[in-house]
Amino acid sequence: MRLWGDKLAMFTFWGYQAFIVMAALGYVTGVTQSKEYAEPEWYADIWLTIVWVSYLLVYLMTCIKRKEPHLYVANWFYLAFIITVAVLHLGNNVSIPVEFMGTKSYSAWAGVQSAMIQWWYGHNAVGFFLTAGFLGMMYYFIPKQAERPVYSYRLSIVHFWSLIFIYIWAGPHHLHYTALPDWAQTLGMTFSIMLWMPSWGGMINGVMTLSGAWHKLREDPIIQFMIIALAFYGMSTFEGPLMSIRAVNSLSHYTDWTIGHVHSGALGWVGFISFGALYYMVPRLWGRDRLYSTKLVSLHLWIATIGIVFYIAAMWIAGVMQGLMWRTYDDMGFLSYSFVETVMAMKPFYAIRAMGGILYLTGALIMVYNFWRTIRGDVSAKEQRTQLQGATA
Amino acid sequence: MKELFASPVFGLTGLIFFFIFFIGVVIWVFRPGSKKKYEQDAQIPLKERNDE
Repeated sequence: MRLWGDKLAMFTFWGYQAFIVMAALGYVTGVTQSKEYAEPEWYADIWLTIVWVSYLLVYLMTCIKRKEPHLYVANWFYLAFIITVAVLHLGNNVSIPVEFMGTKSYSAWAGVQSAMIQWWYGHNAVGFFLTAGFLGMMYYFIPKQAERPVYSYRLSIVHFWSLIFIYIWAGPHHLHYTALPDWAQTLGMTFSIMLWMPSWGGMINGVMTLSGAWHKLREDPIIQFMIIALAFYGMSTFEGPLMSIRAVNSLSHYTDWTIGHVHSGALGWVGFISFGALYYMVPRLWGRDRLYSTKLVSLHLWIATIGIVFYIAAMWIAGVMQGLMWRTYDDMGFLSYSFVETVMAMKPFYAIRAMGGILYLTGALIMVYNFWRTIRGDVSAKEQRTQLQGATA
Repeated sequence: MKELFASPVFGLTGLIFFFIFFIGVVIWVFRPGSKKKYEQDAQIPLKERNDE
């Protein structure tokens, strides 16, 4: 079935690119709301709202004119993502422009309420954009690539409702030991720990889709991408609730441990599930029988995986070290380390982090090369041999 | 409006409403006869249709 509204879909695509350009220009010219998250000024926010409504319209109308009576669960996750991000964007960006011909504005929220709204936005951008949206991809592309239905459709429905009911409350864990009332901090922490259940339920549902066909995990590097994505999803959603516990957070907060946590989710989960989906889509979109080289997919997989492991291991060590150095006192009650000493101590770990990042980028460039050759219609020599062997066997 | 949000009854009503809704969802997915329906629903992405 074709997407509804070709022109509107085109507008959504280019409109979003235009928003990114507007946001980036704001950053380099200093036109921002000076916030930790989502700081483009009101004109960019309004433009994004228009683009996002057109996105919702394209998605919703496509769902409405579907021929299948039941709306498949992947679409639920996608709709939750589109609608919740819209609500978050509108709530977080209520602001009053204060110049007639200029761009300056002030947020309608102030003080601790402003911090809470910011992290309600920030945490749920992670929860509904980088989790729900990509879970929607997981529920479609893993069954497609594995050629098997999802392990339990029932579990996918419970997964959906429990994830969206619980995630929305977890934001306050970003504000431990702040002016935010204790009860709100405890609420955020409790809901974060409850998130273990839907996160791991969803991960198990995805991985177990291969149940009875485990040989595919050995043979198909695209399946490997998807399953390693789920492994990183499981790992970072285990780590997240752990870090939301107030006592753990007293060590981890403001350190590079948080950066490591975010990157195991972003590079491992979001990145790998996207790579898997792209490897599935590109040959089909350009009408090719196969990818240029499966071997290069495997190479990409291993280079990127090693890259992430370097990256997050370096950030764990740097973060824990940083946190411990900050809280070390001498006999007289003075801080043992100045801030710059903690920065200097992190230098080797930053080098490891950079190396991990370079490996990850190299993997992505290998993918781009593979796609370029695939789109041109090339098939590698090795790929042709295996094809012939398959034909004669 | 402000008084409404501040009242303890407001929070409690929300909690009970969402909790019951969620329990309802869980009971609903285990209703008799649902197993067969969900097995069919899970097949949706695997159906090849070329009816543009």
